[in-house]
Amino acid sequence: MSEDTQQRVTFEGEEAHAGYASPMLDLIATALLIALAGAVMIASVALPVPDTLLTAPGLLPFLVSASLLLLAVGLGVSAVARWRSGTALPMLDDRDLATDFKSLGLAVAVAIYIASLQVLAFRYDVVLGGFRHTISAFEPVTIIALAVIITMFWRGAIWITALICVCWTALLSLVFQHVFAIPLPGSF
Amino acid sequence: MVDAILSALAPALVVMSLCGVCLGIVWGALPGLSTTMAMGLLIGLSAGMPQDIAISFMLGVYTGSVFGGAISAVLINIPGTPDAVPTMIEGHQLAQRGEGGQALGMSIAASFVGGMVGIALLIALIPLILTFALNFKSWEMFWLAIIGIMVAGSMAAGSMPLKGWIAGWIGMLIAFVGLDAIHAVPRFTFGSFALYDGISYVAVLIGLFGMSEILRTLPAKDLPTIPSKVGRIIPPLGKLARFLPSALRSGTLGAFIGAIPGAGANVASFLAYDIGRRRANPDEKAKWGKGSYEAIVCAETANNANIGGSMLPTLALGIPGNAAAAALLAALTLKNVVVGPTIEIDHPGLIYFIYASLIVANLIMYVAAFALIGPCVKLFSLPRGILMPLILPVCIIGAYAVKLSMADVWIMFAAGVFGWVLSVFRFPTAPIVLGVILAPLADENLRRALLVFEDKSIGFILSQWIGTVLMVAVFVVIIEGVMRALNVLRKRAEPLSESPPATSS
Repeated sequence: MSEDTQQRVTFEGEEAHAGYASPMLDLIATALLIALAGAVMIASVALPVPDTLLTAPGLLPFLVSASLLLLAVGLGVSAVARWRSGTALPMLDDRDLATDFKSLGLAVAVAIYIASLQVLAFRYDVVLGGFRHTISAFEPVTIIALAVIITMFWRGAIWITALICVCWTALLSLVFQHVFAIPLPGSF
Repeated sequence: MVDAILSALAPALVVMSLCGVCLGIVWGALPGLSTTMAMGLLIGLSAGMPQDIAISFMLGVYTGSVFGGAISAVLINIPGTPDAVPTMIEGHQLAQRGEGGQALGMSIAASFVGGMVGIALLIALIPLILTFALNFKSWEMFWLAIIGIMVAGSMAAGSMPLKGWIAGWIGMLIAFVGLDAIHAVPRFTFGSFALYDGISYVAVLIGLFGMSEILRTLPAKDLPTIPSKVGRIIPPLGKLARFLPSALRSGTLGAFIGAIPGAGANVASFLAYDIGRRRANPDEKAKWGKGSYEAIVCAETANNANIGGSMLPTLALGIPGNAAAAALLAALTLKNVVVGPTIEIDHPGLIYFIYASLIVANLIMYVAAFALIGPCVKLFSLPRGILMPLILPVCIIGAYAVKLSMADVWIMFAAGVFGWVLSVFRFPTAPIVLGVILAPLADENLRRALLVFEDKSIGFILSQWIGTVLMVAVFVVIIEGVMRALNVLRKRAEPLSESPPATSS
């Protein structure tokens, strides 16, 4: 593939972002990984050894965290080398901070959504002509949460948003309960 | 085999396979929604299904979503999955010339041929691998699990394999949480009984591939999606026949790459695309990069043959060929199916049922793909601001459905946020899933092997030749990764060192 073609590719997907970050970000990652590896190494050593060391529950966690420590050091060394060579990406990797803050805001909204499903759980069985359907906190909480999130990211008419949220929630509720036989969260 | 095909053709199974294929095609066609995401989310849906229906459904989704990526790649120039990038390069050029339908028709035919080549090689090779794999003991299984994680890390992070390996290692650490399998000692549970069962890998999978994608792509600006005109879809038979040798070559290559643990469809399609270009006749070679049908055939046969190939290590060794196969493995585990060298003994006939389900899914994909191109084009105009939030409740239900536990929903959420943070730091996520799935295998087998090797000499350990070969392979993967990273670093430094010194004015 020519470089020109490669530059035209706007791939979207879970591994689209993998690769080099700015040395600053890699150094932060190095510090966090060293802290994590160190903590797991200590916790692994502290685990009880019921039999010989060869079958100790902490054996592989210790080996994995020790090698993670080495990999983290390697990441740090590579970051410093790129910093020194002057070929590095900018400090914050050209990140769009406004988008990152929106992602964080979305994460908070999702956390509130999940917490609401847990805290407001209820169950009400509706029987219509022999057809039994359970209504729980899933339906009202999902409608509200979806409406809020869609409004955050799409500037369409409110009635369209409301219609989409109600129809989608009803569809999920019916399909999961009666086709896949899966109880929904928000109930007990 | 005939019995298995007849079983897979039961009306209920065909309907579920059709549902899976259609869902997969639409899912794969929508930009930003990947095969792994589809597989991860739908594990939850399959939780309430009987085993045979769940297998037909999941294989349908897998087959459909791998092809689906080609639709958006050709018509709107945005591949939903990495393996659709070569198809996008060629297909969109053709679409701009009004041959989008032909490009898609060729993709469908190539996907079908690729799928069948992959299945044929799976059927041909699995008895050999199963016979060979029966010699694998704890020591060999430990190294095989490590290879799976290392190769996945090496492939996922491209120029920076170190990050892929770190991601795989983090996945292993996540899997260590819970009661240890040999002595039932609680590890890293912080006194919480909810963690004694360990961290649900289904929740982690949904979080990493569903939730984190929502967090990452929803706030991003909508890309302009103006679909090209589709036109005639069914390609002429002559054109199909002309590219059959390329299809068979690329299909075989794709299946073999799929059989390497950790190497996904993207590696298969890029390699087949590159080899196809080298082997093309001069007339066809001139079209490469400007809209070549042969290039589409090479890429699409390879990535679809990869499905059958990825089933080889998944079924024969219990080592997933890629992240999507890892999701399938998770779905099988939920149905108490333990795959691996003894699959034929533990679940007689299951392997034939899987072959048959793959064949049925591939046949359905061929028909459904032609029918679904039109509706998919309409879906492209759906704003991301509506589409992505609608997936959110599916993530929550999927995580909840496995154990009906809100703790798993929180784990899914935490995994999603963690996946987003990893994307900020440019770490890949697929190796984490392989780490989570393979760590228990590695842990148990290492300790068993060490117990067996107690009082034995190093010479005895090295005389276990399969284990020694696998151990050497791990070091080869490490050395290759380090060399690749050093090469990239050197290339990045070259333009600076070669540029003339700046002159002061």
